[in-house]
This record gives sequence, C-alpha cells and structure tokens, in this order.
Amino acid sequence: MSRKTGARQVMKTTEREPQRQKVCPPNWLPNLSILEELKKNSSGGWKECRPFVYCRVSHILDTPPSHLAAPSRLNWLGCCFCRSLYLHCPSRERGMPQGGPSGELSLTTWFDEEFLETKEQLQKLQDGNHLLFQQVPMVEIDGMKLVQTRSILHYIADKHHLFGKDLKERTLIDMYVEGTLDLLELLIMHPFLKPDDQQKEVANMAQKAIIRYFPVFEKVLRGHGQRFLVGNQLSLADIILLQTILALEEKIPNILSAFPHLQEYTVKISNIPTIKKFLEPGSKKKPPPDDIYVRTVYNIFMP
Amino acid sequence: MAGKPTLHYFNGRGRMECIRWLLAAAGVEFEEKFIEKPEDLDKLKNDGSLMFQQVPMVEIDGMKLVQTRAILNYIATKYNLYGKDMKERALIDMYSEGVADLGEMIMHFPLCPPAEKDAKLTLIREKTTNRYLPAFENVLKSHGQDYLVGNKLSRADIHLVELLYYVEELDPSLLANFPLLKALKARVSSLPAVKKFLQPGSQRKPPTDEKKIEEARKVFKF
Repeated sequence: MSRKTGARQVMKTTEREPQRQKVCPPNWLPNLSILEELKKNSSGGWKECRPFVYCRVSHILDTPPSHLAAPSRLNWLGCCFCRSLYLHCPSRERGMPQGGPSGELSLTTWFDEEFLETKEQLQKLQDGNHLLFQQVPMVEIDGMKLVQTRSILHYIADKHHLFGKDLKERTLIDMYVEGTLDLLELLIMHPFLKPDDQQKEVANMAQKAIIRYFPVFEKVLRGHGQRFLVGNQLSLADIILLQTILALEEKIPNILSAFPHLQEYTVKISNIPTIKKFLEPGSKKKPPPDDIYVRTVYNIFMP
Repeated sequence: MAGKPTLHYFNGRGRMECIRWLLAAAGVEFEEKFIEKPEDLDKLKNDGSLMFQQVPMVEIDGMKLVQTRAILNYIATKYNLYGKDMKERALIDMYSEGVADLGEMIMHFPLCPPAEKDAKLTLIREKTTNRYLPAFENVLKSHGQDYLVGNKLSRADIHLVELLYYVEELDPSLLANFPLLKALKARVSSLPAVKKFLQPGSQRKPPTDEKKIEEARKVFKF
C-alpha cells in the first residue's frame, strides 16, 4: 500500500499521451474528448501534468507539477481535470489543519465535487429523487441533500460562523449579500446571452456596479474603517462581495478605480490564508466561463 | 406610530406581498406608505433611505431594511417562524426558495408580451403540476404532519399557502391532485390572523391588472 493515499501509485512517464492506469471502481466513465479540448485551450500549468491515474470521480489524478503552488508540508494529489484536491490525511477526516504564513492554523474544509457532463447524469439524479426541485446546485452535507443556492449558502455560513453574532448583524449581512447577488446574477447569466447583447451587458454591469453597489460598500468600509464589512469579522457578505469583484475585474479590469477602500479591502480579503489558497492555481475555483462551459450547460439542461 | 413597521412600496402585490402575508400571519400590524408617482420614489432615494436605490423597503425596529429576502428573514426570525435549529432553517429555506422561484414566474406573467403569453402559461402550468406542487405534497406525505417543518407553523407554510392562492387564481384545477396541499391551505387559512387577512378590507392586495401594471411602469420606469 503506497504511502500517499493508500491506494494509488503515481506513474511517471515521458510520453505526452496519458497512460491510463485504472484504479477506480468499474463503473467509471472517462471523458477524454473534453479533456483533450481543455488541454488545447488551457493556459494553466496543469497542461504539463505528468500522467496519470484516475480519481474517485473519474478524472485524471496526479501529483501537481512543482511550479504549481502547493502546501508543501502535506501530501496531496491534484486532479488535473476537475482540479479537485485529495489530501492524504492519516486520520481519514475531511479537514486538515495547515500552518499559514503567519503561523496561524486555518482549517480548510475540503470538499468533493461530482461534475455533470451529460444530460443522462442529470436525469439519473432527478430519477433517483436526489433533487428536491429537479435542479442543481445540490450539496450533500451533514446527511442532507441541500438545494437552492441561498439555502446552501446560509447553512454553510451558519455552520462556520460567517453570519455575524446576532440578528442585527445577520440582517445587515443578508442585505449586503442579497444586493451583491443581484449583481453576481448578471455575471452568471452573461455567457448565455446572444453575442450581440454581451457587449452591451458588460456596460450595464459596470454601470450597476459603479453607481448602485460599490458606493454602498465603499461607504460602509470608510465609515467604520474595519477590515470586514460587518462586525469586524469575516462573514458571508465579504466572501460574496470578493467573488463578485474578482469576477467583474476579469471583464472590466479597472472597475474599482474610483473605490480606494474597496481596492484595499480586496487585497486584504484575498490574503486571508484559506481564501489565498483558493485563489491559487490548482484550487477548486473554476476558471472564467468559456465556449466549452456554455456548450456543456446547453447539452445538459436544454430539453 | 412609532411601534408598527412601515412598508414602502407601490399599491400592488409585486415583491412586497409576501412580506405583507408574513407580517399578517405573525399577527403584526403594519402601516403602508404607497409610492404613487416617480417623485415619491425619488424622494426616498434622495433621503438615503434605500440602500440600493430600490424598494421594497421596510422600516422596522429602527432599521430601514431592503431586499425582500433579508426583510423576510428578519421578520421570520423575530416572530419565531424560522424553525428551532440550523437543520430546520435549511429545510425552511429550501422550501421557501422553491416557492419563490414559482412565485417569480407567476409574478412576471402579466408583464409578458401578448405573443409569448400562451407559451409562458403552459410553462407555468407544467412547472406547477410536475415540479413544485408534487415536491411539497411529498414533503407533507413523508411525515404526515400538519406543517412542512418541525410540526409547527413556519414561514415556509405561509409562503406556500400564499402561492397556492395564486395558483388557484390562475387555474383552480391545478390543485386537483394535491389533497395534502389543499388541507394545508385550509388549515393555515383558518388561523385567526390569516383569516382576518383574507377578508375584504384587509391590506392584502388584489390580482395585478393592466391598470396596475401601467401604474408600476410609470413609477419604476420600466
């Protein structure tokens, strides 16, 4: 039994084509054509991943190349396809304390992902009554199959103390999150607009961000001078806002130019150890939507 | 009056109606300040009363709350309509969000261009009978209790019953195969505070007609 994950051997090879060493259960199904397309379009370091064994969710698994950021003290395997991280954890628990640069211990919650690539997979989830309203996202957590994005966010925030210390703070967090989600919704829908409308919509998003949403948060931060939006501690509001700012910056790089407090805020929040890790290449953070993403979504969800 | 919450919105259902239902079901009396002209909305904006320049806005307990969900979450928590722990809250959230998704479709239906109305109505019917009502009927069937979560009235029941009234307005036959939902509707409707709210002369708003839509278009400029 190998030291690394108890079941897997990493095979090194000089060949460019992946060597398929099947370690997974027999019902595993590869999707090599998507992998090939992704390899062609990728700009990330994982293109040079050495092959390869397959992870539990049927993707290729390997130790990441040394030039990708990695928590070096720990043994881990990174999936080059879905970028899931499988941590070697002697006690077989889900979470593993890691030392941050400042010496603090930060607990990262590890999670698995099962990606939908085909309509049949969605059908299977629906037929098996795993989806309350026949829709995803769905998150299996603590014995529940949670659906509805906001319900999932609230549960996780509650569980991990990201919802303030009392009802008033919680309500402030709610208001900020809901406002930010209105803006994020525009970003989520953007790739699915007609190409002619997409350019116009970028201008609309920029306008909404600069006139309606960012001034609110700039004022809040300027007003109390604290690191976080609410109650001087990290909350769901900070996380959703950071996600939205970073996603907007991908489309409009200077979107924060008139908001000095938000600029500083973005840097500070991004440097929180758990968030910093998530923002590094090789994490589970998903890349900007591209044509493959749009096509996959249409394939799965169009009737 | 200082004690009662004040609702700021136009005189129609829109996004404020679910808040009116929840307050009413909780037995909370509230005032309403109606936005009738664009100038009324501008005044609120210039006052700094609207965090994101939008209504609904509810003045309650010294706060000016905006964002429908934030307002509903606050009221539900304050009046003990949000379950007893995190897990019950998660269930209530899921059910409430499902109701909101169908409610959103029904709310937008009057604004649909005439050419698309038939297709839209078919879609709403289909989602109602195949997706949403069965999900809630099954929840009630699975535990056989009087209410959706924790054997106790929660906001999920109130939101769902409100929705059932809208489904009935659209087409009463849509409720035909859902006996447990019909029973829930009857049960919740007979609670004293809800019964009062259902009577003529209450603050419950009538179905949205063409005239109402025109009013809303003028005020909100869409």
